[in-house]
Amino acid sequence: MPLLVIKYKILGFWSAIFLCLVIYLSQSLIVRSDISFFLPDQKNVLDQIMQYQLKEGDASKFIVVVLKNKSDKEIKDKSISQMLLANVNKLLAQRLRQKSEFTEVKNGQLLTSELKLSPFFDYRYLFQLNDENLLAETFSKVALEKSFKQLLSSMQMLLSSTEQQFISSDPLMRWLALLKQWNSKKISKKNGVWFDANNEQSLLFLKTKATGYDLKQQEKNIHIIHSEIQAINNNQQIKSVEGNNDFKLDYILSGAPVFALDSKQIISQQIKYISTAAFIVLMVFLWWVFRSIKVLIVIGFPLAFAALTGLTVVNLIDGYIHGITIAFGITIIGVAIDYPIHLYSHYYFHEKNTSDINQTIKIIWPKLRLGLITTIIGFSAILFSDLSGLRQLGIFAITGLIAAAMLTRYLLPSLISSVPGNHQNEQIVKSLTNQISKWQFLLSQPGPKIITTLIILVSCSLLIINQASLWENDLSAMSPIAPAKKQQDFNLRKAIGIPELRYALIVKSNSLENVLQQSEQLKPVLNTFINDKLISGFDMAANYFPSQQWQSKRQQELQNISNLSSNIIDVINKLGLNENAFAPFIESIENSHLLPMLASEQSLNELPENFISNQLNSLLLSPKEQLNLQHTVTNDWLAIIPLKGVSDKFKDQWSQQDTSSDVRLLDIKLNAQEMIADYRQQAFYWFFIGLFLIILVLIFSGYKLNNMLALVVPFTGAIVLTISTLVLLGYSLSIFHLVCLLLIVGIGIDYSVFMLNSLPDENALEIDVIKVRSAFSVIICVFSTLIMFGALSFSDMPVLNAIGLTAFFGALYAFILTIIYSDP
Amino acid sequence: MAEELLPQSNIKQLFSPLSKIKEISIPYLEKRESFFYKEAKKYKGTITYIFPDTFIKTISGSERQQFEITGEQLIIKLNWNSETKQYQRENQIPLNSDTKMLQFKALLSGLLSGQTEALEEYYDMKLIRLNDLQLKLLLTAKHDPFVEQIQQDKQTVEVVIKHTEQLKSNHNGKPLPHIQTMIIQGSSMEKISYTFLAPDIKVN
Repeated sequence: MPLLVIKYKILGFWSAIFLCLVIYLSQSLIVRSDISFFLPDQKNVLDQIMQYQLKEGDASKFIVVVLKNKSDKEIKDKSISQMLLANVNKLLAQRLRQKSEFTEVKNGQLLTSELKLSPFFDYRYLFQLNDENLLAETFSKVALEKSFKQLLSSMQMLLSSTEQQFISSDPLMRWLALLKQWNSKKISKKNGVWFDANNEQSLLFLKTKATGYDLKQQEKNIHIIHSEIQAINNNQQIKSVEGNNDFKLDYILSGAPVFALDSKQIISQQIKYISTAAFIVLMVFLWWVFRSIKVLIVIGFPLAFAALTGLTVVNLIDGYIHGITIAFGITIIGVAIDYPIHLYSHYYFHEKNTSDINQTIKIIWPKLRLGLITTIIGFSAILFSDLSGLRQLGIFAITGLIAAAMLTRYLLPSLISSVPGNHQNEQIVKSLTNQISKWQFLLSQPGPKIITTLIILVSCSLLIINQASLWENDLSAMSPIAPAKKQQDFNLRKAIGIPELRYALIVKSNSLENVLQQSEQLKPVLNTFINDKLISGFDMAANYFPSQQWQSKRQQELQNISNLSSNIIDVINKLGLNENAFAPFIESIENSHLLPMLASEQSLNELPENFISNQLNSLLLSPKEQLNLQHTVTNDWLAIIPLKGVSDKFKDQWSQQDTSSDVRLLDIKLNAQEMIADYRQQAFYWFFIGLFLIILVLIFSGYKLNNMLALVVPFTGAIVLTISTLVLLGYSLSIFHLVCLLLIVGIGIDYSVFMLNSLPDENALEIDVIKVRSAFSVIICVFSTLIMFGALSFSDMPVLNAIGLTAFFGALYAFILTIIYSDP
Repeated sequence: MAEELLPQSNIKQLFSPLSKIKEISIPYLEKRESFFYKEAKKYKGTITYIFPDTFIKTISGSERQQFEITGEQLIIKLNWNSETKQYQRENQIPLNSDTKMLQFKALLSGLLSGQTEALEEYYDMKLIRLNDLQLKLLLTAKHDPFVEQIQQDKQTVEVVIKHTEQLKSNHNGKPLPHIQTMIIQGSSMEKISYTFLAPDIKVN
């Protein structure tokens, strides 16, 4: 078959693969972006609940809207500013309540949907008010008279027909008191809506239908909020209010979905800018060396193919890919650029001898393959990880690098042969290789070897001694969100009474009834903690869905109150009120003890969708829901009791409580830290197993034992020196640093394999040519790596900064050590 | 003379002279009809406004009470004795906790101190000339103060105002509006009718 036909067939084959990958990804790629994704797989109930809380829990669905006046001029009458903010708040709430994307829109206003909410309204006398002990006290003649007198006072302001109807059924306003208690908002109100403590910012909070990690939907949700606020801002109704000339509406959005999107945007922006800058510098550098645009394009192919393959494989296996996997993975497979650089650099030098690109690839392929295998072994340490994020990263890196190597081996020779040869800047090549030869000679003397060996050993010892203090276990420390913003969100959550993400009690039992009863038994204990100011509040399913035992007790209490109806009628008559007007009230009390029990599994499933059923969904986990989460069969019900405003002393006090073993305290932050620490330990074992396997591979690749030092010392030494440098610069090591160290293993071996003078497959006659071309290709690779990762180290984002610095120092040390040890 | 709808700007013009008032005290008779009462209740008392933002409604007779709105606080004094200024019990309620109270304050602010922008916040307004001496201010609540979402059965307030020569001299020759009657209609079964007597006015 003519060579040209073979070449076109090869090109056609690879083009078809490229096209398939692009089509698949454009149709099916799903990107997620929650930090919990970087937590290990659930192993026990607490882990399971923690992940549930972080991914699906209510706390991850809240968005707080803060409305304020940004005018520099102080509005003469503060009340006008408050009135305008309240109006905006009400209008915004009204508009957002019509959107199906939000399951709750709360701003302090009473809602029609909350009045006589079925079926809970009928059960209002069976629920417990916080300050209520016995129903007999609530319905004593004295208490009733007091309540009706209060009603009379409030009737000084005229009742609307809605209020009139409502009062007929509930003159004691018990339902409104329950709503207030359930919302647990101690926040102050102005003009009917919530304001902050200084009465300067009006507040509104939204609960999204989508989970916090569904970033695509959350992006839409946030867009809806922005456009609705914009529409209101342009509304003439607001503008026409007298005295508003100095009013300029401003707003802040806060909450987990907002932060997740901000993180995504910050990561994308920084990656975009930094990568673009690094890419331009790299291309200028490579052009300066190779003097050919075509070569630059060819060099980019393996990288692009590696990224497409990595994305496709991960998406095929998991059904989605994490944003950090993409950002981090593409950075890691950036080393795939080394493969075409090696090929092209060697081809240039070989042209003088053979001018056959196929011959060149055959000569360098064993080295590329060895570098690839050892890198794969290195990344295998995370391939079997419990952290799904790292597992994805492992798959992405391994498949990407294999794809890049395959493309370099089987496609690039055809492409490069069509690119006219000898484009390199002869002067630069000579100057670079001469310099490297000089340094290689100087540094390969015994002196530098002894000094560097000593430095590595001392650093290693110091790191082992201080290993406990080296690590950063806090995932949130890696978040790109500014601490001030996080604090603002914390304050807002505290003010509005939204639970923080950190603490919850988990109650486990074999039935819904038992789990509710156990939760109810915790109420007095938790109320004591509130009184002692150890916590500021709590929420539990039993508040909205009391156990059947509790309901039955309340019904009995109602039945035992003698002459209840006649007492009510006496008070009504005494105060000159119309008995008939309160007939629905008397009827509802009389019927309360006849109501069928709420709180059965069936009634829970049959609840209509409203704010209480939504709340119950997030506070109760049925065995079926747990099966979906953990994929293990269980008969247990779980109740989650989120705690609010937890003080430092609470944990000590809680540990002294004599509670059932079925009640456990979940500290999400601590739990996550312990999981990360456990994982790190596990990853370390894998890391050392990986090192051992790499050494075995090197031995079986035919390298003599005296060459092993030249192959092993550069990457192990680079790891030790990189960690030491990072620690000296004040960085704590995270899992991201750990992954980058795996990259250093690959880079280090790659440099050593190419720089080692005495190689298994080469004869002595070619030794000078080998020396020069190897030094040349490695130095181009080193500069490329330093440019790419050096740029990332300028990022103020912890993750990108970690990757950048680690890879930069790692590559630099690996290269220096390679030069020192490459002449055994 | 046929009734005539006057331009909106006349409302502000009508009430603006009240902004110069330091204190005004108006005796009233009140008839309160409600679905919840056995029979209509009748009260008498005084409504007082003291510059800048104090409103006091004192009910005399057997159901002696005083409602005082100062700033953002409502103070209810039970068994109030106007002579001794003593009372049995006091309840303090933040005004902002209830839109109904804010709406009531806005009504008083508009009618007694001329703050029509406060009135505008809660009511749609129409001014009608009844005859040479009398005007009718018709207010329709913008929202149900109990549940703001509700748009039906809005509260209406009908205020009949008289310009009297007697009050003219108190304010640079400009007539002060003298409210004669006010009927607040909540639902079909909730109605309050006020008849106001001659006010006692102190001007700045």
